[in-house]
Amino acid sequence: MSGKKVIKMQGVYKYFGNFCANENVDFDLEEGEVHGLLGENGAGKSTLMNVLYGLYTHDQGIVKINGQEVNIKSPSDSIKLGVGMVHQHFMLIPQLTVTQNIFLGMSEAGFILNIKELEQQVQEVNDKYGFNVHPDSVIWQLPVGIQQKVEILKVLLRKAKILILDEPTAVLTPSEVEELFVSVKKLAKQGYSIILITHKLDEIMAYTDRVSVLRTGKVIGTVATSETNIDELTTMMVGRDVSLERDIQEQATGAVLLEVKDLVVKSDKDVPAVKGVSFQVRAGEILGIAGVDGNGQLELGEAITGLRNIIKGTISINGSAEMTHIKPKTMLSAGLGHIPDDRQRKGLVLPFGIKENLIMGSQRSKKYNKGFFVNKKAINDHAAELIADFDIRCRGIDQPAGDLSGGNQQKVILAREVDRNPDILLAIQPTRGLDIGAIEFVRGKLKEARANGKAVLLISTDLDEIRTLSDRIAVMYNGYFSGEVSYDASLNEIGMLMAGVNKNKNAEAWEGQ
Amino acid sequence: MNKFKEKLRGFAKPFIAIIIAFIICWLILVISGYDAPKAFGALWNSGFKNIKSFGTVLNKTSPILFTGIAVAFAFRGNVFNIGAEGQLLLGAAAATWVGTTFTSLPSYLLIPLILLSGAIAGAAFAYIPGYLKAKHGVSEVITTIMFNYIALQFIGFLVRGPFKDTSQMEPQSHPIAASGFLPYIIPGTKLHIGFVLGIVFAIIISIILFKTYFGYEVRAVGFNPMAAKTGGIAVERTMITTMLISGALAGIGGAIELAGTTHYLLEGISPGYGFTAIAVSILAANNPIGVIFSAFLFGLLSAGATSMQRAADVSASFVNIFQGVIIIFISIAAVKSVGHKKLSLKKGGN
Amino acid sequence: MEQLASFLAASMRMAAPLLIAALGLAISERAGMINIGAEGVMLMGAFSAYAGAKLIGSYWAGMGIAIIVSVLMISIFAITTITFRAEQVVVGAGINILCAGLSSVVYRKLFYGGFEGIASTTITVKTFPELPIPGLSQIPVLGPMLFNHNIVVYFGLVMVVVLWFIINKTSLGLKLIAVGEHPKAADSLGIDVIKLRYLATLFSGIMIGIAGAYLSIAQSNAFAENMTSGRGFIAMAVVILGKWSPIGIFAGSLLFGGANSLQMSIQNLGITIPRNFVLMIPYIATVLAVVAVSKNKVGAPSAQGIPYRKA
Repeated sequence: MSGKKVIKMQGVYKYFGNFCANENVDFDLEEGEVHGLLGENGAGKSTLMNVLYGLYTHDQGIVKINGQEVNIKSPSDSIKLGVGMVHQHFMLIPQLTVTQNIFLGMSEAGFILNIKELEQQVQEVNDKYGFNVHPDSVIWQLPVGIQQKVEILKVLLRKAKILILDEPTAVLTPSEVEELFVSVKKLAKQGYSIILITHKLDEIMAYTDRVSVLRTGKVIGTVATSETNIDELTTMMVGRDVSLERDIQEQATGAVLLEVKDLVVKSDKDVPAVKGVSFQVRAGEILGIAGVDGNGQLELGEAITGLRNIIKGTISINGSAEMTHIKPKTMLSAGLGHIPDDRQRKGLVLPFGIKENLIMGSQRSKKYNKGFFVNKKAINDHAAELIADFDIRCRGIDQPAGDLSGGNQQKVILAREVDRNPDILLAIQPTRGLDIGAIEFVRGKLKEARANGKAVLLISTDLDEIRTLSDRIAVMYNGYFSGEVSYDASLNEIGMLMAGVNKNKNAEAWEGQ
Repeated sequence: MNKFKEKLRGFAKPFIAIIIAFIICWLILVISGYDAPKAFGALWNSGFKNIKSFGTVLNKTSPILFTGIAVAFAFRGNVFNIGAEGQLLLGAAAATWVGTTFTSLPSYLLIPLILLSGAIAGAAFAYIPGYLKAKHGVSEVITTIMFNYIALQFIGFLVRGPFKDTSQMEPQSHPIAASGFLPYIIPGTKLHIGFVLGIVFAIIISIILFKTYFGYEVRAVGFNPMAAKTGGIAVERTMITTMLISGALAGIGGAIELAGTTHYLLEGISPGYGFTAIAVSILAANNPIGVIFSAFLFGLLSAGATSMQRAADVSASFVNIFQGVIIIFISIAAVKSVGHKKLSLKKGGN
Repeated sequence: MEQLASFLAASMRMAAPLLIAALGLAISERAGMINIGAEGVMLMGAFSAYAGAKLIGSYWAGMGIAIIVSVLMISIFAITTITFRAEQVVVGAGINILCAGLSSVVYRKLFYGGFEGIASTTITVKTFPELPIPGLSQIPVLGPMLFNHNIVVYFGLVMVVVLWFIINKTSLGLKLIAVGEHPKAADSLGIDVIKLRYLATLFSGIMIGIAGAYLSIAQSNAFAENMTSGRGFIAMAVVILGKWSPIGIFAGSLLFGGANSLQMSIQNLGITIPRNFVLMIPYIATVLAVVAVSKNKVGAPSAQGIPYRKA
């Protein structure tokens, strides 16, 4: 580190309507350092970096790059200034090749593309940093870990000296994380300056030189990593002591409420995504399914809820017969509660009022109908009751769900599903994108369901979440269960399973086909 | 208070769009060298001069009312039924067949039968695009448009072939039995009971949409089919049913136009009532009760078109310009500032 | 052999307006637009080409005016849907109705003094002449099919190659695909999504205008109200059938051109199928085509029809 400030932001404000996402933010980045940007979801980390990258324009304040005050209006401005960003949600065009994606929008590529020569250029940088990406592969066929490397290559080939990595480890296995940070350190040593956005404290402690903590849009402080500790950072980040530590009492389990046998399901691309998975969930336990995103968990969840056709195998719920052809309605009436992975797309009808969303799935029930007509009073009372019980912050029962914050949207779904009193609760990524208060609330409800003798199936890519809540942990890799362990298995053991080491016989049978 | 303001804003939008459309049309007339004041004067007079002219306006409003509700209902369910024109034509054809076949039936049987046949024909014709959309993901926009052309050719075939009245020069069908004529409400005017029926249907459809669980399901599928499916609603079946109801309404529109106004089938039986319906529905924010008012506006324009032509030589197609401008302006006004993303039903694994 | 040659040549003539319009639509759809207003814009193209050719006395002037008018009409679509983010299908439907009205009103005003009813005499214009390409047009079958046409048909054929090259071999093509597939990603790389969508849409306006002009001053020599009779919509189906690629669109438009010329052959051969059923063929073919490709949706731009909003 030379101590030279490559970025200096002073008094930066960014508003969305009346909401202040960044308030009087000061931030600086030194040449050759890895600078952690820590904060909860919604603390304003991504907003601040999007300002720096030109996707948003700030409303007030000064931004200096290499000592020069700059006015970044669009990503092309920031790219010219040597700033590159690797987004949390990859900005890659699935249909194009690695090389095409890398040179997309780059004027250096010229009007008529000489693909061979461009692939050569990609290969050179590839070799320099040991990335091992094939320049002519089509993006959608690549695993996420490789896709992320393509994103980094994209930034490097644009001659960026300042790299912003937004939650880069969210979709990686523990060993891929390791590998990523080896590269990051290498880059820093060669004079690149790196901002690492994350909410994972262990990453901050292990890989950064300095860390800035954001809370509700404001910078709480910037400290040298070597002079701080996890407890201090947590308090800075959250503003109070919270515990997301495991706090679950041992309890006896009951009857098998959900049984899946030899399930085979195809993905959207019409290739097998779940390849012969079997498991049981009993009353009073939480089975956690861990795994890196894209290993078939989502398809498994959709098959269980009846949203995706089952090619082979059966599902039996609440003592029912073994079924292959199931519809969402069958499962709901058989006693399945479902918290879907994407609350805005699957969980809610955003333009509908809260009260209408709260009866989704029960709209035909006698409770909410009076003869031919809907029972307005019953629906209103029901909504008012759940809003109070679940502490849904809103203007009233008619407020469109689309106007609610993410946490409150998730509470609406949770309220609806829990209120139906299902025997089996399937929760897929139930806390993704929520702030810590909402996370506590949602996890609390899942624990409560377990304590009440429900069978809970939790599918999550958040390993901490799985380890905090589950009784048993199954790890999914490439469409099959690579193993099942107890909740107290070591991180290393789970990490190996997530990376597909220790394949079971099932998997071998599949690959032999 | 807030709610009242929202309501007020809801009413303001269509009025502003109508005024803008009037101004633009006025300008187009002036630029093309027409006598605009005279033309618009004739338009006004044609509607409100006397009870007879007012009756004509309501007569023109009737089929538009039906196609308008049909389109509004479909739009609510996120089905872009651009095929109301074809469904109306098929409804008129079925009504013709019933009205020229069961000629001995008394009015109280023949008229309901005529309306029913229109509904069935319209629904049947709408079923195919609905089925293709729900089961195979084929865009209903292109199929319903194509079905309009197919329906038009089919009517052409009927009036030149099996239905042809050989005593007439122009290709047209025999008139239906007089017992099948819709009774007039006010003697001396062309106002028939089809208009009243239209209002009744607007109210019924409004109740179905907003006061029943089926309407809830239609709207849920319309806003977010994926969430509806996740919530256990049979999305495909709901889409098809939405299309069936929409087609039936448009078909009844054709039947009442035939039994109430023309009394025989001809190729030009609809000057585009099914297309006007798009403007009608959008102007009413896809609300069936609102459709009553916007259908009246277009009924007035439709009735006035002939007078404008006589008084100021303006082509009757002029009404189309007005409709087009209204649709374009309302569609801008309809954009929500809150980012309600359009979500689509993604199917996988089958 | 001779019959086949003349059938293929006729198919090409019928295919040309579909080909040209579909190529334009493919570019705008690639950029994420879906414009059912193509029908109306094509109609305005046909009318203004005819009016220009008649009033100025040159088919080139007619073509120029058709392009200007079509671009004007399509810019209504572009402004409302790109800048104001209005629903594309609804605006398209509005444009169709508007154009049907506008072309009729102005046509009657200009040529019949507002006279209503069917005019007894059609006023004809001079049309683009046939320009057989020396040598090439003598090749058996292929010669009459591809090299014995007017310049507008050649333009369409050349554009197949030009657009194929742009989409597959240039940075502009990459940008276009990016904007239609993942506009946010394109934006993050400094590509101006809004500008590119405007350009693509206006380009489609030029192409649709030329296709319309072909109908009134190349294929025939007069304008008739609603003379496009669904060709704008059919061109959209051709885009789907051709999977958004210029080569595929060329094949798809030939298929429809073939169906059309088959329809004419049936009429000429005096086969006793009612005329109205024969006239249905292109529309039924369109429905069948979109149903046939619905099984395999690969190729449709993901962000089609979705407005882009920068935060």
